[in-house]
Amino acid sequence: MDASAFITQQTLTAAVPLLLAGTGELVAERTGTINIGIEGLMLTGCAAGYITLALTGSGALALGAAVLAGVLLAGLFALVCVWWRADQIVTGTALNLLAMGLTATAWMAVQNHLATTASLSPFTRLAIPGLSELPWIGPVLFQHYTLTYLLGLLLLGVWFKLRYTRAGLILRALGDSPDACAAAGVNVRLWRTGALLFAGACAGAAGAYLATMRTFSFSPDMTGGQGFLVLALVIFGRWTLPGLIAGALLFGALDALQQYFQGMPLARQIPYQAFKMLPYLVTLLALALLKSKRGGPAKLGTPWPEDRA
Amino acid sequence: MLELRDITKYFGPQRALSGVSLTVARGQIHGILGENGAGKSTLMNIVYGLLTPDTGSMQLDGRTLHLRSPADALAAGIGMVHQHFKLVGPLTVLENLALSCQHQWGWWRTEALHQRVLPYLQQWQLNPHARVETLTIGQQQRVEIVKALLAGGRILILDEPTAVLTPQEADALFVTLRQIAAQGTTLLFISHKLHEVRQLCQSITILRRGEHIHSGAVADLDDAAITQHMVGYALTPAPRSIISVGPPRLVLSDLSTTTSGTHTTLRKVSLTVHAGEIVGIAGVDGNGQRELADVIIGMQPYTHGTLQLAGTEARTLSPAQRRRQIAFIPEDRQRDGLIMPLSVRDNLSLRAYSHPPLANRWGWLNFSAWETQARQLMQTFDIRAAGSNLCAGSLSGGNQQKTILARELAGDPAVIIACNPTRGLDIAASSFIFAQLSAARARGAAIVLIHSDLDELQAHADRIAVMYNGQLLPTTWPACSPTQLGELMLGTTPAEVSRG
Amino acid sequence: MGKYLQTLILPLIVITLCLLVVLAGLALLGYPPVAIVTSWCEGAFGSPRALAAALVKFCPLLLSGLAAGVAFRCGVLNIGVEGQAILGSIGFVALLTLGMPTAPGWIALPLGLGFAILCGGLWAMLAAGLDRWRQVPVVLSTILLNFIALHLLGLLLQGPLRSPLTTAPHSAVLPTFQRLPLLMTNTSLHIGVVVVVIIALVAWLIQSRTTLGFELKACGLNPNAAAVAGMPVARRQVTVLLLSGGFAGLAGGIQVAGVSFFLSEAPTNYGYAGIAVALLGRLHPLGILLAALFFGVLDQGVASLEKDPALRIPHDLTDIVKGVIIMAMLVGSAWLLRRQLQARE
Repeated sequence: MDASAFITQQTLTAAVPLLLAGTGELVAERTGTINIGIEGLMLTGCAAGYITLALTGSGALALGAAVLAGVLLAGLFALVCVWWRADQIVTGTALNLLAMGLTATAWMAVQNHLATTASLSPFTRLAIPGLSELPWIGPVLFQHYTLTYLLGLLLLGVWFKLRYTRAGLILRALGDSPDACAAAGVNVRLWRTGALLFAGACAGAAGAYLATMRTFSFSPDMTGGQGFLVLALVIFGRWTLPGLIAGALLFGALDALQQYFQGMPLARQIPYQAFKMLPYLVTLLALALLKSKRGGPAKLGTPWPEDRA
Repeated sequence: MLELRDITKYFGPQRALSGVSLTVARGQIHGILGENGAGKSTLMNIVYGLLTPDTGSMQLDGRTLHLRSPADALAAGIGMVHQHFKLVGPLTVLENLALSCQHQWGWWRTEALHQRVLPYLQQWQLNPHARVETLTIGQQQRVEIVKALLAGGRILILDEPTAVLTPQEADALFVTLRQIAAQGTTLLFISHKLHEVRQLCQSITILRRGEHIHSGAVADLDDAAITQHMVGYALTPAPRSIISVGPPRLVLSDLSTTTSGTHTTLRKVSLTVHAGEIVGIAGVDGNGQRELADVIIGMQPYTHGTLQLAGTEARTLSPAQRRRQIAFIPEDRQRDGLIMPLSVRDNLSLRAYSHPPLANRWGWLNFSAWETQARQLMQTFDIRAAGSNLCAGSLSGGNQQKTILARELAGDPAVIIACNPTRGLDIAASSFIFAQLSAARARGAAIVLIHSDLDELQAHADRIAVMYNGQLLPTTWPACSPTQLGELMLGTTPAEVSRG
Repeated sequence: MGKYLQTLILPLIVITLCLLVVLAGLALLGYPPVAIVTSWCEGAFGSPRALAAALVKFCPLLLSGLAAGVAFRCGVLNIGVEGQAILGSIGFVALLTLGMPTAPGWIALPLGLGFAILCGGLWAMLAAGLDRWRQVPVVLSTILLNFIALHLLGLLLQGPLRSPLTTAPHSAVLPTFQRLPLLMTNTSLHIGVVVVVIIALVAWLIQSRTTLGFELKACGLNPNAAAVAGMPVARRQVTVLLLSGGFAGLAGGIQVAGVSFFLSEAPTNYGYAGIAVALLGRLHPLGILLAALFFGVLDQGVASLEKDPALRIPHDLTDIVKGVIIMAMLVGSAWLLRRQLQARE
């Protein structure tokens, strides 16, 4: 496979978890809740997915467990922030801490029970017949995991739903004016909780992808800040799906390029830490250079109903 | 026919409504009158399903209604135009209407929606694809009305709709409302302004402190009787003292700011305020009043022109220094005026905390001086609180405003800027506030009163200027009529009225 | 008196509940709760050495908590204490090993720690500048800077800061005359503990009795009203970030000067914990002092618990406890605040 095909395929591979988790977070933020704890949610998905897969060998169970774990933790977040109206940013940080502790503990606890023979993930790439034979495009676009194809459908579905259905209208309106939605008879808290649970499911699935498909391994710092990257990408994309996709592809490309260059002899002169720093530096720069003309949802981060003495 | 029986509502230990009953015939325009805090909004929120009553029942055309949420109300044909619009800014007019009126899942942009909505949009010249945040206040209100009518048009509740309108716009609104009533919709019109109610309504209900005081035809009562019912005692207007005006204390010359974001740009604003006078600034919200206040107190910089405080050019002063000379009573007392979780004592010290006697030269605070000042001010300004340690958020609206007033007027400031100082206050609190401002005026303060209520402005100002689109237009008031003021506020006036 | 009691009760309830929940969880997993508690108590206060070890852990937690606390109190969400501490330790080690390897302690330590404070503060200033001029939310920039700091550390440890005596990624070991003097022999209880307590007391004084403290409180509770009252809100927020970063940098410096004596990539466990400490201490310096003490004792007890061969306790227990405590504190504080605001006369 030549360089350009490799880079393109790697771009997509790197972008998948970002897009998965990002879609969920985008929906949640459009309804007005910001979840700093995506990192923790993804990590939990990694742990749940890997452990379930290693213990049971069933891919479907693993994915299900990861999604469930994400939903449960997101549910906790929703309880504390939507229903009890605590500060969302600090709760998200707490969620991260909690997740780090829980996953590390679970990982330690399970060490003894893991069968050492389960070293091959049952997830294999699904080559779409016919299309995957095409030169260059074939291997790059049509030989991915099923989840990746599903992601494509998810993106289309969410975009469509947000734009054209009543549910999407409500989701879009909730972040800017929950009062207007309440006056129209919408149960604000229920909708926000639903959006958060969706975000949890997406983040969990993203974690499962990292731990069972992209690689079949787990380590306590597996997500390496990708959750925070997702937050930046949502801002970067101006809270729109096309923007998120563009951003995720951009960062996926950066990641792919970085991997490619690391293989080159020139790269051995540069310490690997410089490469590891790159995504964060670029994210920071990107955030700095893009001055938001249109900010996020007006009531992002504000609990509802607001306290008026 | 709408019938409310014995409605009672408590908010915790506080009784908002007690045994209120009323009956309105179909197609009638019924006014709900009462001062701020009487329970009008609470009652109407119950009719709209935003609140559930603790006791009592509601019947529409003989059928008992149990409304658990606005969705039920909308389904029953009850629509409400809120005082603070419930619109989603970034969404279009059509999307806002669909959000409220269209309840099937699936595609929201259906042919049926278009059919229902188009006649109204055409009637009121509203562009369905315009984003609501780009519309004027008057246009936004029209969207609110369409939204409420689309509910089915059996009952339409309007909560203080003229608060944001000029006199002309209010008249136009009344014409529309009469047409709607003629088509069979029952209108419930909340207001605290007698002359509007007299102009528009056939019958009224008067509330006071959550209790039902009177219901009947409007023609049966004269103004004095209505006021007596609303307030509970006969109100005598305070006589206005004649004061000779002193030297100019605040001079703005050709003040301009640069355009930025959603702020209104000020264009060559000129204003001179002398000691001992109250200059009223009228205008529809959003024409630059907020920006004018911000520029004077130093929250926003100005690029051209001069601003002089007692002779010195203000550009050289920092906001903190400017605030030492200028007292400011902001419009939004909870966001800009007080720090809710802090105690009353701390809020009273918010203006003077950094210099003696509240603090020494090195920044060390003197809390006993804070206590003394708090006690003194609470007594002078009649701030009702169990102690100065109580947090400001637990005070009533009137006491909160008095706290701000006490803090700002202590120390006898030379210049006072007051923005809608009586917003949401009952008559007793309102008169207290204006009495204090009058007293300050008598002591020689130069006062700028930015107010959206033209009636109160006319009652208390010595001169009136109109803010329109970032420009300050002087007027010949009291030589000109309120209608002419209204024209200036709308920007539809021939230039002669504003000059000379 | 009643107000202080109310302030104390919430954290006490939260701690008790959280510990009970964790113990219950452990019991469910098969670990005997009574044995855990006794072993923990022994490990935490059983001997003067144990207490000394707890105090050593308490030291960076206090600074980290002060860093988070002073920022949160002013409405600035500095989640970057971890990275700022790393920069502080880098600064300290760089100055001492590269600049003055033979300087006596009484010159090297103050200069080194001062430089650590500066480095931490400047790292925080990056976030402040990005917020002020490019509207990048402080939350995001500080988190991203954490990761950058981590990799920067690795980079420097491979290069200029690496000890010439080894190929492993750590710096030269500090000579004994450049280490923080000990308070108690045969322990690692260093003088830094006293220094940080003094700092906490000074912070308390400034916060409660000076105009600066009042301004910071006002800016945190309601920046709009504070600005209208004439306070330079934006400038205060920058000041606070600087202070916050400074505290964090000092924590990093003290850890090298008093505990580890060399710089390595070993993860700190006081970075994010500072947030838990700050919340538990109700964002008040004295409360943070007590909360840091609690966490120090907790950490020390758990550390000795983990070494106990009879029970086999999972690692990262304290992370879970901290996470649960933060959550519970948040809920409790939100509830209390709402009760305060709703109380009508």
